[in-house]
Amino acid sequence: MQMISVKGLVKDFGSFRALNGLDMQVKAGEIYGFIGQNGAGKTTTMNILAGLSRPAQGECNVNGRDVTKLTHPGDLNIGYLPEDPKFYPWMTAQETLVYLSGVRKTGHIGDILRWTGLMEAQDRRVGGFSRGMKQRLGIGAALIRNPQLLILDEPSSALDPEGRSEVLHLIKELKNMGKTIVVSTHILDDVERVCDTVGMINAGKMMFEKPLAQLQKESAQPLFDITPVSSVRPEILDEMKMLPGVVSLTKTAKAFTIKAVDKEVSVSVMGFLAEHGIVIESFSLRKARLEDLFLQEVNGK
Amino acid sequence: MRGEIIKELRYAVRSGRLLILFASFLFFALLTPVMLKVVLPMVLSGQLAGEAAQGIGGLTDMTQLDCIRNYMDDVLQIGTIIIAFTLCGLTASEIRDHTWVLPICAGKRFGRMLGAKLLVFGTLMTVIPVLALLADYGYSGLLFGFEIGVLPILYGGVLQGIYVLFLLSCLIMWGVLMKRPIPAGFMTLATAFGIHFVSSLLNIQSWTPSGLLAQAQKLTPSLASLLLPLSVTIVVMVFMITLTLSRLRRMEWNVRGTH
Repeated sequence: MQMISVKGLVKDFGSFRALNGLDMQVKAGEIYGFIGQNGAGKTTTMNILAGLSRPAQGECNVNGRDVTKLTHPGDLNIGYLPEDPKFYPWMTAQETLVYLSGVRKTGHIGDILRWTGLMEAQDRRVGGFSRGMKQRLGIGAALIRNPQLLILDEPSSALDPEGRSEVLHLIKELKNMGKTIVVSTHILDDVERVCDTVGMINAGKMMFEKPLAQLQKESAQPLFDITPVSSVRPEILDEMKMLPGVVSLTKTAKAFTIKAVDKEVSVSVMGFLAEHGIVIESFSLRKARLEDLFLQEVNGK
Repeated sequence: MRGEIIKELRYAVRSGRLLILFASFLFFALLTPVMLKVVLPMVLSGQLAGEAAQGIGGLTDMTQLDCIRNYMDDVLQIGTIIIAFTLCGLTASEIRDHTWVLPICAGKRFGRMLGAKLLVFGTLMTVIPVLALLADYGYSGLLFGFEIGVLPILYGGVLQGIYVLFLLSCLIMWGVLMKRPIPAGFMTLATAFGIHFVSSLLNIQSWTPSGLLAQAQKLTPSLASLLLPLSVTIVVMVFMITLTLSRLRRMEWNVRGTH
């Protein structure tokens, strides 16, 4: 069952096209990691998914509702955590949750306070909370209507390692409760730690959308980081790309990285380098990570 | 709507808005009788000597009624400025600071959120001018001698309160349109003083909310002369709130750099 189905989403801010035909599919019960560089269109997408912003074109179905026909964001009945959640600083944590729930203090609010680790701070004003506490309260606020779908925009990006770890732990627990969670982030390590599926946006378009396991399988292919003494001519690099077993070649400022089907390809790569008289400073083998795939997509295949 | 009302009450108390407004109104209510009874004659007699001073002293002979009307005039001018800048963030700050994002996502309705603001601050801003006017009535009565009963004072106070509701509607509307507190405050002042100035110039006060203040200053309850300015004020307020709601429903939220 699809919790989110997005097709050809377009969003303009004046002359700037923030989303350029974005497609996205999120299945029920999964943690979907939405990755991309700053300014790629992550928050714009999250705002549209939460019903806070309207697309110029495209289809967008969230939690069984057509977002383009929505009259009020609250009708989506989802939980949303903005990148920087803003609370009333003069309210306590408990008052905030009671206000957002629209009912008097209930067991559910007590559960949320306990679960987010804010029970002891429930009577403290939010203005005095640390960033991590605000983020946990934000997750609690997103859970106030016990929604099946949670959209979390950069929930851990501004936190210290301890705060990040706490938030990731909460996200994992939410999945265990059967919730569907969409997490946008540019911290790829977080994605590798919690997500089931990864979608990558670049310049307002979805570059890929794959299960994490598949990505990890793909990224299990070895990478050879090669640093030549002097720069290599582009036509030689193009030739190298055609070698058997070479999946891709990415050039950086002083080096280039070859992604290969297996380690045996190193023999033909070394032979090719020797054949063309390319003196190398270093030749190292490493296992690819999500970050390599990300950089590969951002820099172009 | 209970939650929204409690939230606005907490905001009024904890942000110090209630205290500022009450203290400001009370200050002018108590200052006016002292100014007219003690300070003004002293200043004038210091400036002039002998018979001239005595003559001027005669001119400054004030009654309780003069004193109350003087205060009501001050409230129109200074009170409007105080209200405009104390409550200019009522809706503008919510938009600028993105504090409405979580409530909206939690299912809070714009109508209820605005309704709670109008109800809480409307009630407070009706009660405060009435209390301040009663304080002015009591203190001026002690200094000048009691001249009128309490009923006309209550009548005047309530009319002032209704006028303040009009100011609140202005603040709410301009806050949503401008999305920034201080410009919203200035636009409210421009609207209030603009209407007052134009209606005085064209002698059409009864057709504007300013007519309520003119009626309040008369301190003589008359339903016939009140009906027109009251109806006009209610229509204007309904128009402003409808416009505000319509704007809020079309607004995009949590968009970077737009607020």
